[in-house]
Amino acid sequence: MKKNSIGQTTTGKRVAGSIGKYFIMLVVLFISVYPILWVFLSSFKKDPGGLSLPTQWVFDGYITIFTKLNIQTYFLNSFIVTIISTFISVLIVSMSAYISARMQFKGKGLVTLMFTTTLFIPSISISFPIYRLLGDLGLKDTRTGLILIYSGLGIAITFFILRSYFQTIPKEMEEAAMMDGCGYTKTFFRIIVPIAKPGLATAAIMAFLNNWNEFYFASILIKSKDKMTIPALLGQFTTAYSKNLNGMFSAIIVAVVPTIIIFCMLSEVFVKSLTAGAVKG
Amino acid sequence: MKTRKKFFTKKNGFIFAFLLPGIVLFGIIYAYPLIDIFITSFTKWNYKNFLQPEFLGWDHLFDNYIKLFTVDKNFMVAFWNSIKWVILTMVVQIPFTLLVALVLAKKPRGWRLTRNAFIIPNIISTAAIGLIFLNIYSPSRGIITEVCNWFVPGSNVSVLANEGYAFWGVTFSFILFGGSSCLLLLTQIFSIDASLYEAAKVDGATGIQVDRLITLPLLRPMLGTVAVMAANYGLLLYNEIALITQGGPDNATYSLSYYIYKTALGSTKLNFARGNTAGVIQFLLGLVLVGMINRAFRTNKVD
Amino acid sequence: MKRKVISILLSVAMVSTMFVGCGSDNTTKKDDTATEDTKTEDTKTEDTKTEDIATADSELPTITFTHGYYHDESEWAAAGEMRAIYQEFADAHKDEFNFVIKADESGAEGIYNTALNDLSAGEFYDIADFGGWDITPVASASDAILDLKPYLDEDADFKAGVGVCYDQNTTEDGKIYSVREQIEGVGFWYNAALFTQAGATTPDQWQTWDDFNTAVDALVAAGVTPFGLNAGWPTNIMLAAYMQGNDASRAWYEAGKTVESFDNDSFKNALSFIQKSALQKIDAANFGPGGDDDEAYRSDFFDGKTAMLFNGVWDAGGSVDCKAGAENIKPAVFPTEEAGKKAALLSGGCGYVVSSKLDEKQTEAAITFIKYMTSPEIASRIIEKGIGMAPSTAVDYDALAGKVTTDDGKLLVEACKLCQSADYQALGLGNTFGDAEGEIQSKYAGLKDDSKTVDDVVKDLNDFLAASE
Repeated sequence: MKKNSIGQTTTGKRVAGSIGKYFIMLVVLFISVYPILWVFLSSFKKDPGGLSLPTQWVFDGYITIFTKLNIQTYFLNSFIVTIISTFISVLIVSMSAYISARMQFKGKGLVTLMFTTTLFIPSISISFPIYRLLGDLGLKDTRTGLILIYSGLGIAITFFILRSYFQTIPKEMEEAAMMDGCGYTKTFFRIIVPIAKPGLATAAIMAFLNNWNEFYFASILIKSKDKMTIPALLGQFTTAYSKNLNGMFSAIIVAVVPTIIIFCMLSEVFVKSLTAGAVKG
Repeated sequence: MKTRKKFFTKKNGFIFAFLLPGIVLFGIIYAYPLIDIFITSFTKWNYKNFLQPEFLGWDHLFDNYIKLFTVDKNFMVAFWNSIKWVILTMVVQIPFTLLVALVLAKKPRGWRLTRNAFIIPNIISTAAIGLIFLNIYSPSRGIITEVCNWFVPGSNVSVLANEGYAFWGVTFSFILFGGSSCLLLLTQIFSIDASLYEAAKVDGATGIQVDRLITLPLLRPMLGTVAVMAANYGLLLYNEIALITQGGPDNATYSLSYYIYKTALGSTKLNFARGNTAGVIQFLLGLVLVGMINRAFRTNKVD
Repeated sequence: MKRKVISILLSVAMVSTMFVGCGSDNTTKKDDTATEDTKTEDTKTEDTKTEDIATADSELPTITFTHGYYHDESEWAAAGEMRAIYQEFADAHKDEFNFVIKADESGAEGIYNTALNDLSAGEFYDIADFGGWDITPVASASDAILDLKPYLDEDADFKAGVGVCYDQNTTEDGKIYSVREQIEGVGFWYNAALFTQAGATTPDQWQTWDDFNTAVDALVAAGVTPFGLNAGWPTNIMLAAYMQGNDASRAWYEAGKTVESFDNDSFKNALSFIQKSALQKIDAANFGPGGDDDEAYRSDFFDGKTAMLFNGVWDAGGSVDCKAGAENIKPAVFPTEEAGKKAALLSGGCGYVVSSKLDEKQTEAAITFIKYMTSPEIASRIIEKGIGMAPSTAVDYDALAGKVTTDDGKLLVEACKLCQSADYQALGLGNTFGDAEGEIQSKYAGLKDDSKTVDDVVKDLNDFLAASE
């Protein structure tokens, strides 16, 4: 009798649990999909607003983007700049994060503090010195200059993500590797990096997304048309006196859809690399 | 001689070599601004002496700080708002995101779709998000006013025109969008050794018990990271304000970042000294916060 | 020991290759930009000129002009026209100097931000069009820009060409750092059909602000929303316009840049007009939060939902294919408290700014360019092509009205003529009060719902002045 009642409550709980689960997922889906759906529908409306279907489908924004503007140049530049800077940033920060997660040394607190401080420096304060520095290096209006800056922006987030990921990797792995005669550097690149792939990939995605949408430094530093990145598209639809929302929304969709697709594809790679890492472990 | 030799161990060389690139990157981009904002917060620096900030003198050393806290009402509003937003991310965004992550970690049907969708609001430019919320709150086109009128007929609430509501208007434009945090938590959960769960199952633990006893403790470092990211977002909140309320109505939705922008760049007076002073305060506030979060989640502890 | 060294060397090598990689990368890039610079000038203009510029005499002085009209013609026809105007100048003078034209893809705001960064590094554009973003206070304090007053004073045509900019842009110490080929001319627009429907007197017949009030009441009584407003631009226009009502008010307003206290009867009077006769005459639904993306007050007007729109002459373009019916849309200027006298807002603001570091020949080229841009020919062209309003007092609007063929072009000419012939012309609120404009507009919501009185607002504004010192 007693046993039975427990069984009932657990099934009851289970049903309630899965209802709750799906309710939460529905909420998440709604708040996540609504914005993009709204932007998407609005990009076909003459006067964007409301969530009704467009009464009259307008393609002006897309036509301008694909026929009048050099969209492939913008994309190419964005990809070059974002991918290289993401790679540099993740590589450099992963090394520091590994040290901070694993080694005991003097000034460890200082290193962590150093990365932490970058979170809170107002971006306005960074602007002037960086501009001057890039001017001195002759890197104004170059993709290299932008790559350099993007590599440094957001290093704190990357640092925290990677450090907490490294912390969860069992120490025995490295110890075993060291026993086999691997040096520190080899251990890191041969053992740790493969295990930490999911963490590295996640950190890379975060950095990629931030850099993909970055506008301020791009607008200050890049002046020639053939080096512009994607966010500059939005400006095409803002004139001195008005904003063409239809065009802006089309630009947002054009800028965002490839990122979403790439993300979805990558997230599958994640899952795979994840299992691969586990097998090795 | 002996200690010196000890310093140049293989391990120390490795530590040094691995930290160097990070330190160089920090040095290039952040070191100078960091020193700069501290120093210039003790100067007079605006459009009149844009090229040469002028030291205030030892007698007036803290003038900029004193002004912020005594005569500058906008700063005080911004200061408290930013603290409120940090607290709100801690009590709303983090628990919500954690809940979603725990649900998705059970891999119910459609979990992958939900996970991928959840990241979308974090990818779309905030310009779009801002416009969406302007529309939602608009008394003529939006839905909020209509919903309020069902409950209190004739109330005609205009969210963004009311000092009390506008703060919440800004808050809801970002507080639920924890997609990237959720992704981080999920990655971490999936990396937890499967055998731990197997063992728990054998012992007859329920789903919630597993979450509480196994997942959460192992998730702690990443939870701390996510908390730092969220708190950072709340503290530095800027885009949503610039796009939705521009600090209004009656400056009720100023944040520290918005105040800094308005004071330093968004004004022909270019009061960089005052802006940087607020920057120093924002900076110190941030460090205190990270310290508190690290302590709460013990992220610094190496297991 | 060996291993130690090797591992260190390896790491160092890795790091350095990375930086060397960046370094070598940028040297090649730099060469690229050098060659590309010359290329971009003419890809931007119409092809063919490639050889001209490539073979241009390097002995000639070179001057670079930066502007924010980068938009594609299909998005903004005015941008294409402006680029054509610049290019014609460059071509006409190609034997005297190389006039390099650069479009900044981040617009006037980008030009301003870049100028600030440049200034911090001790540099400045040769000449740039700041499109309303006022760089002059900081740039002049840094000694980076040229005083144009001597050039204006020695050439009467030049002075006539810059019109109101001459007086408006004269600084306290008697210098003029910027003039513009376009100005913001602001009156308002009304929907004649809605006025007739409500039996209200149309604005062209108004004598004083009392007639405005009577008309608004008539509109409201007939169930027509008189106007849409928001916590910003359109309401600022009303406030500034109302301040032009009488001598005392005008005098106080004119000295707005150096205002020390907002505790002034004219100002308080204008605020209570805004509160009682404007903000509280409309529903919450017609009052937006303000900001760049809040344009409901405009779209409602062109949709035929409101009877008046407080916006500049350029919105003639909004009448094209609008639901309200283009034939119903009419321009007007503001009444005053003096019967029959009219007021308009004409703001030049910051436009062309020239570096003070140019040599004599370059400076001459820059001045020649500004003279060209403010000449009556270009002024007529700017209006004719529907780009905006020109400051020049030499424009013959009646002749222009005959030349323009499109309906919105005709509306623009008419609106410009009204503004130009208004009895009183004043600067807009932002150009007058600077940062305080933002503070003033943030109070409109409180005034509307009565949570703030006029005295509260004045007190808050004075606190703001004290804090910004």
